[in-house]
Amino acid sequence: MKRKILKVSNLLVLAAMLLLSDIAGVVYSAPRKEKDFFENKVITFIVGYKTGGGYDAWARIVSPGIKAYTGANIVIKNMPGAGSLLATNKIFVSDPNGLTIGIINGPGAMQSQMTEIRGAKFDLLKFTWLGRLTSEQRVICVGSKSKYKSIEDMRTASAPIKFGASGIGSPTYLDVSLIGQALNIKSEIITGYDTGNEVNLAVIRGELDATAASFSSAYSFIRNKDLIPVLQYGDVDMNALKGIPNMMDLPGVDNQGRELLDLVLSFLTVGRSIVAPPGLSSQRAAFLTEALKQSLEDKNFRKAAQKRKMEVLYLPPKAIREIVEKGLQVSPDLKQSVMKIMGR
Amino acid sequence: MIEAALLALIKVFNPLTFAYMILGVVIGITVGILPGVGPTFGLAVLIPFTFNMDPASAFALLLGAHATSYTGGALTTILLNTPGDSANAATLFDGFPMTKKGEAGRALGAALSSSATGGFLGAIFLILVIPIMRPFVLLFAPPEFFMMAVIGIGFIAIISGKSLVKGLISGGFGLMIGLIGLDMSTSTERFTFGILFLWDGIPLVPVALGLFAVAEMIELAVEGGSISGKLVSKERGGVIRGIKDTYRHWWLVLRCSAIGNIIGAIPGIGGNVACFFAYGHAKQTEKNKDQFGSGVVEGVIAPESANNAKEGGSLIPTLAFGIPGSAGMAILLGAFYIQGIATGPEMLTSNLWMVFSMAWTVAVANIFAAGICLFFANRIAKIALLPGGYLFPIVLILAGIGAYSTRNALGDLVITLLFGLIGYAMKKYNWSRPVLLIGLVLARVAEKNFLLSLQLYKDTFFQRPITIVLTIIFVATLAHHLLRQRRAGGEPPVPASSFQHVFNLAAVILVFAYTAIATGFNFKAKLMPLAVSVPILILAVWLTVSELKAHFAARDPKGGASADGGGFGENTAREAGVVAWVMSLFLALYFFGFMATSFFYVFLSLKMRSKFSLKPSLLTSSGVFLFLYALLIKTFEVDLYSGRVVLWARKIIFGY
Repeated sequence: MKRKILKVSNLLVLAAMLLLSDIAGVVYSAPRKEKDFFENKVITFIVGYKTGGGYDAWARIVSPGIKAYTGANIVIKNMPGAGSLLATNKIFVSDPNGLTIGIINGPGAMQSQMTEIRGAKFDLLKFTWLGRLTSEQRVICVGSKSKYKSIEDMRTASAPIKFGASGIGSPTYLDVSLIGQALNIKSEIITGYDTGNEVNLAVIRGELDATAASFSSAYSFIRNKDLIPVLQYGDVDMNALKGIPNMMDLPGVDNQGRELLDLVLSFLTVGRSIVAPPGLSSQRAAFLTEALKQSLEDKNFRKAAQKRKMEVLYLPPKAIREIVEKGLQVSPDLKQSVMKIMGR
Repeated sequence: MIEAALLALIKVFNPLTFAYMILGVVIGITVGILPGVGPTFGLAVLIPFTFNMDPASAFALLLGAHATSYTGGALTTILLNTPGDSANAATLFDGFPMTKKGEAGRALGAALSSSATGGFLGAIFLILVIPIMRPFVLLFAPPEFFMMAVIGIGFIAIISGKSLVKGLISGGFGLMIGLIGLDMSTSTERFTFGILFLWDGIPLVPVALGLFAVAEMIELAVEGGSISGKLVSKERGGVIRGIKDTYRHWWLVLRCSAIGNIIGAIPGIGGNVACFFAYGHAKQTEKNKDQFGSGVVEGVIAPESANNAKEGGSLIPTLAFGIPGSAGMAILLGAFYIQGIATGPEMLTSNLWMVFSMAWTVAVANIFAAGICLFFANRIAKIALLPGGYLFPIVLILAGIGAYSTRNALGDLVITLLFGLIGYAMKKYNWSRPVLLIGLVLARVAEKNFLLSLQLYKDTFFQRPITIVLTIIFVATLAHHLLRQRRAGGEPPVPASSFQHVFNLAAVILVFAYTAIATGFNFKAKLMPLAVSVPILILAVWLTVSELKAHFAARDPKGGASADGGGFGENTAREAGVVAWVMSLFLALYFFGFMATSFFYVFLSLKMRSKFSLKPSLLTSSGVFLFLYALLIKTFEVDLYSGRVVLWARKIIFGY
């Protein structure tokens, strides 16, 4: 009899311990619960550009780290179209369960939302931000045989400077218009080029005077001395562009001009960021944020990024959300003039 | 320099890189053979694998696959009338007619040997022009690109031959479709009806798959039997005969390789035009020009030597400036980036051996690919003898995968289905489908460069020397052709069936609607659409009226309209049945996804539609399923759409 009681009490103790550990598990190891959720599931990582491009490369080199941290398999899904609007829309309406994430073109998305482009069916303020990978430093370049040697030459030129862009309202078009207006550069933008490379080649041919491009895409042309950088803009000056003035440091810009330059900069600062759909639970968002952060510190990742000269300029979700909020709060006047530039 | 070239040649034969190249060649041929799964898809799925490879192996693999997928594409073009990629599209004109004539083996032999020769010559050309390639690339600017596109459009008239009006309307229809989407210059939405998916225009691959793969399968199912009846089995030594043909026409091969090379080397015109140029050139210059289109071997040799040669050419701007010369090269450039290798002229000074090793890889891979294919060619040619019942579901499934996987967009499946139906009607009523593709490929190139030229050069547009030369070439060839045609006399209007008049009328209404919508755009955005659609509208009305007239004139006492057997009756019922099967595939793909559908659709189609017995049906469908599973899901980790039903079920059962 006594032995039986002992057995029952043993069982009770055991059950109580199990219960306690369970509660403790729930309270103290939310990440473990999240890990259980992701284990062996598939995370779809949406990229709004083709395989082999810059965005694709970023997605592919961060995903092994995310996979290791979460235990989920990651499938990269390239959905090119409408200058990545299609993919950004898709992420926005996906189920907020953590199994869909994506890399977005921050500056492009900011511009589309602010100017209310018809195809933009997302709200950047509602996305679940997981962190910024990097932001693009951009450069204005001239051809090696151009008569303009510096940005000052361009500011004092009497003839309009011929720039190239894809279409009215494309990011390059807006950049060149806003910066040109702020710096008093008379510019004529030739539109209709398909890719940045076509514009670069046109500058090398001497058909155009100048181009505005991301540093990473212009890098090899600059190193080969086919393109000469004359101005840089973005939130971190590049070592490789030492001695090239930053647009924010130029003299002779009035307050109105400064407002335009601030706008260009705030768009750029949103950079290449990883987002999840709106409404993702804060626990799961925190888990994925941590996964991203860890993967950026991974040794293999660092090696791979270094080999490709991809520079991490990480920003945590909170900081990036503040930039987005600030960037989208512009005065009605400024918005009006941007809309006018965009041809609407 | 010679030292570097030799060093590179030795490196190509290094056992490890050589093994990767051969692997690449095998993959290249495989993706080339699968209809719709074209070269760019092959590169896109391979690139992720190269992330952790050393540069030499990575490029051996990628170039091996890239340089040879056109070789594989030639096979399906000739045997199934289904181009693997638009680069093979010009081979459609004579390749498939040769198969129908029972000369599949000869056509394959000619295509493979001229591909290999063209690819090899392209690589040699690349090595020869290295010293002058920068100034060469810089010679060409938008006015020249525009004139080249115009010459390409002019070939529509030349290729159409006697049925000039119909050819022009088909080509014009292609141009009209090509102008759908966001206008690059002013960002105007054209014919998008608010659908974001249409912003980038109607992509080529789904259209080509619909027009050819789907349409061909509909016809095969309606007519029953196999593609070339019993003719192929009688053909002896056809492959060898084809190879001999290539060397008999060495001068043509050389000329067309040069065309492919030069067009490949000019960024901005798009390498896919090369094969049309080569075909047009051959038709202009060969003695038997009137037989082109009925299955002559020259019509296969010309485009096939050009399309492999252009790959050597498209490496030129990649090396000279770091700017890709073709869609495939653009992806390869991504691979350079992934490998952390600087492209452009720097490569010529610091990595010259690598340039040569790329050229050698292209050359050697081409020879190996042709060798492998030739070895199996006689066996592959037997595809044309397979009962159509087997081909029907398999080719359709592959077409669906090909259409979806380039952009991961379900909308591309709708495009494929739509153009499948259009393609079938076009084939039935003798409208040329390849010229539609020419129009589609060239529309944007022509428009873009015209608008750029106007902005950049204004009135000096036509005063540039190369532009003048190109304009003279254009006017001279077209005038020569039209005069010849006039002497030969046009095709008299053929009495047509009632359905055909409905088809004509539908075309008129469509072109009219297009024109009406286009008038609402801003000047730059409407210039090109109207320049195309107004003449096409006039031609379409003229054709409809003259065919109606011929119809009433030829009306016999019975009052029947059965000129092409396409009236009402048994055939119509069959057609409706086949079309229902095709449509059900696309519905099944939407609801059940690719993998489940690949098994069940193939099975049901064999068992119920073709009435095969259980065992072959089950074996074939399992085979298709396992092949796709092993290749796409397991090996390449492609994220294929899993179907609405699966997604719903997962949500209900697992809650995510």
